[in-house]
Amino acid sequence: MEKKLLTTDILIIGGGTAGCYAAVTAARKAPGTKILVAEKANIQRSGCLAAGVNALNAWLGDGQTPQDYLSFVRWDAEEIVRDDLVLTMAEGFHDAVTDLEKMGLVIQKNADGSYAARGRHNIRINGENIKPLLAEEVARYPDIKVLNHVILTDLLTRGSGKKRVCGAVGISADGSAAWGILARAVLTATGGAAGLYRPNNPGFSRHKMWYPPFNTGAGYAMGIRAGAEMTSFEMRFVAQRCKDTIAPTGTIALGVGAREINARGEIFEEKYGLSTSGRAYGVTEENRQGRGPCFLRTSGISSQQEEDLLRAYLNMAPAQTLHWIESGKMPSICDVEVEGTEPYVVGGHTGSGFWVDEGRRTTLRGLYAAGDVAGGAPKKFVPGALAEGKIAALTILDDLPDLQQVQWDSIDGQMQAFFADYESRVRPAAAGESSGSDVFALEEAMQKVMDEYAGGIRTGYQYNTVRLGLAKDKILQLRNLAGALAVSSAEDLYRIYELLDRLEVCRTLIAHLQARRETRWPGFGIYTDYPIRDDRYAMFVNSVLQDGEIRMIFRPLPVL
Amino acid sequence: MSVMIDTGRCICCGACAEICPGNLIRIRQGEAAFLPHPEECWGCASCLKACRAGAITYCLGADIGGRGGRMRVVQEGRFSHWIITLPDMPPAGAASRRTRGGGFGDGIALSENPEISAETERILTITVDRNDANRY
Ligand SMILES: Cc1cc2nc3c(=O)[nH]c(=O)nc-3n(C[C@H](O)[C@H](O)[C@H](O)COP(=O)(O)OP(=O)(O)OC[C@H]3O[C@@H](n4cnc5c(N)ncnc54)[C@H](O)[C@@H]3O)c2cc1C
Ligand code: SF4
Ligand code: SF4
Repeated sequence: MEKKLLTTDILIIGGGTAGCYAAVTAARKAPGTKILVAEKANIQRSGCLAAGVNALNAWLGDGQTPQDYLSFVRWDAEEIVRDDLVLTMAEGFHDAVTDLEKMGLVIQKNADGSYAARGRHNIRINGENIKPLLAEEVARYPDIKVLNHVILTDLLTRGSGKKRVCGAVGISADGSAAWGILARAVLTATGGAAGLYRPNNPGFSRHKMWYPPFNTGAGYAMGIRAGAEMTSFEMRFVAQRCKDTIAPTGTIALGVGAREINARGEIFEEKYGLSTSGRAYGVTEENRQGRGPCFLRTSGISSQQEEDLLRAYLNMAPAQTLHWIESGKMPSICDVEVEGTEPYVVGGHTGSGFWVDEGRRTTLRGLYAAGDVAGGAPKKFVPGALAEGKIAALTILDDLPDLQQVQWDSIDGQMQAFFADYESRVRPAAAGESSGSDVFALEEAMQKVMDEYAGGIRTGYQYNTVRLGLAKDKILQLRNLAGALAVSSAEDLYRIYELLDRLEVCRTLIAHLQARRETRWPGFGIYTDYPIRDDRYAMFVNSVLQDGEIRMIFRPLPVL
Repeated sequence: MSVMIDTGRCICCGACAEICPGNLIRIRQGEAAFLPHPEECWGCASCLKACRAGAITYCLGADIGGRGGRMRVVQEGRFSHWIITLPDMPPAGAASRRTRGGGFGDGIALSENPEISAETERILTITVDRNDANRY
């Protein structure tokens, strides 16, 4: 394995929505600053935006203010939000969106030139090429160097107690090289975590999920291992999506105004509330009570509407268009069946992620977080991820004078240990080694444990104290097994680290579920021993990994 | 969910392997691109858009309703032509668009593919204009 060493001023881990925009912001503001984006795939089409999006879901329309957005998010998240984070994010929507338009994004306009709204907080776009446009913008700045196909696995840190993050290590996606990168500041922007739970389509189409299966929670895991404080992992996200393709439903619900109905044709949304969790709960509950499956009532839409839907999905979830046509069950004739997804950990929709300050500094010096990996500010969507990338970049520029580059020799031992671990895990399979405990088998085992014991689809998102205890034991056992994993081809090496990262996230998630002894977001999960909201838990549930143990920290909500 | 790579059409340029957000596509010197684990495909269609040789088609696994239909995309400036080829099976359940008698609007045209026997396959093309914002 070849070893490659680099130094930079700012290292950005993950060239997705937030990461690309952070890089652009820093390059514009402080020319001459060296910026390195390390991306596991290719920033042209990586992360959430790979297939495109149809709307920008965070926007202040009709004279709305950041304060209004905060009220909306606080209501939707049942109070567990950080006011400072949501406000600063919402203040950035306008500039981020107009900047996207300057980059070439097609945004639908009203006759007066204002953006055409789709609901209160959405604007309609043709976003098939949104990621290539961001990548093009990145390419304009010579100070930004992009390393595509480099998967980072761990942070490099100095000191104990209040640690300083001073770089990161990783491997090439094909396993050909090990990378060591020293940086004065590190921004993690790796997105959320999918594939922790048994997915909706566990067979051949196991990766036909909503959230990108390639966002494995690496940023969370790196942060957890380095001792960063995390918040609200227990606020999982369960989305309500089109059956089979797990494609977004907003385009149908908001676009053609389709209402949700159960198998008897009854509209049920009023019964469960209109928050994100309430809507997800409605579908689960109707199913539990024998009135499933549920549908979005599209039958009767005009042929023009149908055609628009087919096109809209090609711009973001092409499988859904193919599904309609292939099945012959066109939306104007047949209602669209919906189902709840596996639970994801994703700080862009709910509040899970790094505990950060207003400038998006994590609790580790030199480490910053933005986008789906950052906690406390739900409902970021594309505009919020961009806004956070920008905020983090500006904070980093402010902090840089105080962040000196560490010397290679002071970090060499730590780096060599990571490199040795990479090398030790590529070796020919020993005779008699069973494939029952290979990386694929362990991933499946992990998803099964989470599904059955930590509130997955199988239990209708329900869990209890006994189940969570079993989940914890079983995940630790799988972690032990995974610790000894090896692969025979270097091309498969990254799989081991993805699995280890997911297991780390699962372990933290279970501890958070155990700690919040109430049911606050019934659509995202029901703690059956504590089935109702209990305002003694009107607080943040946070955690830190210390000496191998997860320590929970309860933090009060901001005083209003 | 997966994609299929036509080894006859593939010109081994590597564009698909470069772009896939999951690094799922492998390319070896002088050989056609391949997916060692087709079941790991997310279905984002990035590789289809990157392939200038039109060698990649998109299909749904039988577990999510696939029954042999294929989709590919041809890009022409700001227009993307999504070409869907259906096997000639009566669609289960509901009537297909063809039997409803109505027109298909400007951009959606149903035509028989001259290259493939009209008795066995049906082809549908949907064109998306990048300059059109979504109506939804
Ligand atoms: C299918 C889907 C549809 C959506 N539709 C909309 C919509 O219509 N409107 C809207 O406003 N929002 C939408 N969203 C939400 C929005 O896209 C996300 O909230 C936002 O893009 C998140 O940005 P991010 O930068 O945090 O994550 P991403 O953009 O996913 O970026 C994370 C990046 O990190 C990289 N990475 C991961 N791990 C590593 C590692 N170990 N080393 C290096 N790189 C790594 C990934 O490859 C990726 O490029 C949608 C999300 C999804 C999944
Ligand atoms: S459709 Fe997307 S995930 Fe699947 S192989 Fe192509 S680029 Fe990769
Ligand atoms: S992009 Fe097309 S032609 Fe190029 S390697 Fe991939 S399949 Fe072959």
